[in-house]
Amino acid sequence: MSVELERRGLPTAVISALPPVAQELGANRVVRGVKIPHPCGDPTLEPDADRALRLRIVRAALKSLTQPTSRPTIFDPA
Amino acid sequence: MRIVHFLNQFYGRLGGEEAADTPVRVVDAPVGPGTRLQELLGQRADIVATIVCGDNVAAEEPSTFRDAVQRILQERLADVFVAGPAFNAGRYGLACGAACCVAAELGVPSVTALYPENPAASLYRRELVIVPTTATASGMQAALTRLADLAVRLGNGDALGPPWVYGYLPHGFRRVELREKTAADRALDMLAARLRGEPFQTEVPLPDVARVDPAPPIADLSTATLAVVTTSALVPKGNPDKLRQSYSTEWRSYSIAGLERLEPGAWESMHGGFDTSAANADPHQVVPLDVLRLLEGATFGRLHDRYFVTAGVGTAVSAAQRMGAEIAAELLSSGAQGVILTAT
Repeated sequence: MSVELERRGLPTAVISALPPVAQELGANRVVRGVKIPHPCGDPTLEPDADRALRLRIVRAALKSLTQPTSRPTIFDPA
Repeated sequence: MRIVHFLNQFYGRLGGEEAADTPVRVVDAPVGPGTRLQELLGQRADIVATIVCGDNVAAEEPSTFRDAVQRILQERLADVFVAGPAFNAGRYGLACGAACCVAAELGVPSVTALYPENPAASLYRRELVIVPTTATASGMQAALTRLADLAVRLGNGDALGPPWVYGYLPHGFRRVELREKTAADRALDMLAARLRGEPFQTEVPLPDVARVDPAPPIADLSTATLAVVTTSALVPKGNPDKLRQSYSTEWRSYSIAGLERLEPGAWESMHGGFDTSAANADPHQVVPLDVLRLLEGATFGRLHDRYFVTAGVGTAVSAAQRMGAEIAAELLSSGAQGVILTAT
């Protein structure tokens, strides 16, 4: 789906727990998520730490939308 | 071995678009690229006839075209039928495919050559032997060499081996065969070859997904409208629109306008492919609305009023492509400039 969104000019940050797979399938902006059932956080952490982790992941996603890339690229949360 | 060859009006030396209405005609000799094909065939086979037909006639009068091809193949006692190469020519490619199907109905083996993205290639690749070519005639020599070898092989009634050995487009199925080594041994051999940096041939090729050039980045994030798309199947509790749990062919969209958070109990994941307890206990694990609201108006402009959702389980690539295209159309018409897609 991300390929089709990008094809139509919409930069798309894919938050995925399997970044190499997303990259292999042609997703151009891949952000490293946590685990398949919870890519945007870690429910085993305390709520504040979980939210801080989520903030880092989403910031990485936002940053990837502003970055020029020429090929499928993995962006790591800071 | 008797070969009948098919060409369109251009390669048949009748002319370009102005000759595209030329009806089917036969020449009892190689023509155009057929001359080189005959050289490559050498003593192995003879091109006894060349069928030439205008692109428009083949496309607009399919039954006339088919009948003529059938009659000629029978009259000339063809052992093998060769069509093209048609490269990336649309009407020509379709004519090659249709003509090869006529040969198949007569029990005459056939082979054609097309650019893999020629629409005829996707239409006929499962049933016909198609040699992949370049988009333009620059790859003529390579295509004719492959065509000659495959035509002789087919004419001799020899079985075709795997596509990566014989150089035709994969038919998309696997043939059962006995191998000396077990699957475990073969897998380890491949792994060892890969570690040594040597070439190896996978037995389970991944689907070939078309690459696209990355979309240009957002120049000014602070004014951009962003949307969330998710394959996590997060829907309002009770799944009011009956989103399927797996093998998705459809997506839904739900309003998040004015919502600061996704409350547990109000939303649930219908995803049939992972343990949804974490997502149900805190939907932000799959749709990070809480932190997006925090960053909205500061780091980026605003969040789209709706999010878009499907269940990414066993979804066919073609269905995913269609859904992606449909969601993109929706987003573009409502002013979105970028997407955060959470994949589970």
